Amino acid sequence: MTDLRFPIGEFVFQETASFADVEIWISKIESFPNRLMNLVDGLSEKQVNWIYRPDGWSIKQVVHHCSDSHMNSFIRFKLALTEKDAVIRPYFEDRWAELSDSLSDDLSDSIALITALHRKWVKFLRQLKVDELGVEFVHPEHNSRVSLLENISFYAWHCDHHLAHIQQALDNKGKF
Amino acid sequence: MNPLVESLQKTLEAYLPLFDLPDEELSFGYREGGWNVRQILHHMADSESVLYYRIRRVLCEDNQVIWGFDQDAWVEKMDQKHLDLSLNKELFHANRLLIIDLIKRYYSSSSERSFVHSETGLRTLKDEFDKVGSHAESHLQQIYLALKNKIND
Repeated sequence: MTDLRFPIGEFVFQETASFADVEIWISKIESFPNRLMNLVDGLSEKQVNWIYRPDGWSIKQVVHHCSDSHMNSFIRFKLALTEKDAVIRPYFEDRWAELSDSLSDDLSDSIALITALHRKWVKFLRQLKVDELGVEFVHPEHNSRVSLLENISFYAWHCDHHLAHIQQALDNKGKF
Repeated sequence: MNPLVESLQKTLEAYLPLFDLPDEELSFGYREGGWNVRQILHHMADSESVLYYRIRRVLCEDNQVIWGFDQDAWVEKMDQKHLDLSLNKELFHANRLLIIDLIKRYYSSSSERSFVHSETGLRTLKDEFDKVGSHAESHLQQIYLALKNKIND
C-alpha cells in the first residue's frame, strides 16, 4: 500500500546529477505555481478544507505551507551565498501551519506570493554558476551540510510532493 | 483602523509605481556613495520578505534569537546583477499584502511577545511590526530625495 504521507516517495538525492537533471528540477519549480492553480482554482470552501490523510493538513494548509516553506528556502539560498558556512534556522512548520492566516480559506494572497516568488527564484537559480551550486549551508539539527545543488533537487521534490497531497485530498473527497 | 495598516496601505500605493520608473531615474542616488533608487527598491523586496518571515517565527517560538543578514550583499551581489525590477515589484506587492493581513490578525494580541535580535538586542513583536512601517517610510523619503537630488555615482 502507498504511504499516504509520501505519495511520490521520500526525497532521495541523486549525487551523480547532470546539468540536464538540474534543468529538470528548476523546470519543476518553475511550473509549480501553474500546476498548483490547475488543482485549486475554483475549489469551494468545503473542498479546501479536505485533508489529504488522517490527521494530515487540509488543502488550504498545504497551499499556505508552500508559501512559507518556499520563501524560507529562497532566503536560505541567499544566506548561503552571502555568508561563509551559513547556519540556517529550522522552523516549526507545524506551528506555522496553525497560525490563523494559514487557516484562511482564502488562498489568493498565498498563491500571489508563490507566483511572484517562484518567478524570482527560478531566475535566480538559472544564473547560478557551477561553483555556486557546490556552496553548502549547515543544517544545525543534524549538523549536516547541504549543497545548493541538493537543495534545488529537494525543492523540486517538495513541489511534486505537495501537489500529490492536494491531488490525493481531491481524489478522496475528504473521506479521511 | 490600525494606523500601521493604514500607513502600510499608503506606502504600498506610493511604492508600486516607483518600480516602473525609467532607467535613468532608477539610477539616481540620494547621497554620494548611497544606494540608488533601483537598489533601494530591490532592498525593499528583500527586507520585507525577511521581516515577514521573522514575525512568523516570533509568533511560533518563544524567546527567539533573530539574526541580521548582509543587506548590502543581497542587493549588490545578487538581485541588482541579474534581476529585473518587475519581478521584485510583484514579490514586494504580494508579500506586503501578507504582512498587512498578519498585522490585522496579530498586532493587538501578540505585540508583547519578545525576542532577541543579534544586532539590536531585546525587542518586542510590536517593535518589529512597527519597523515594517518606519523602514518603508524612511526608504521612501530617500527615494524622493534621490529623484530631487539626481546624484549620479
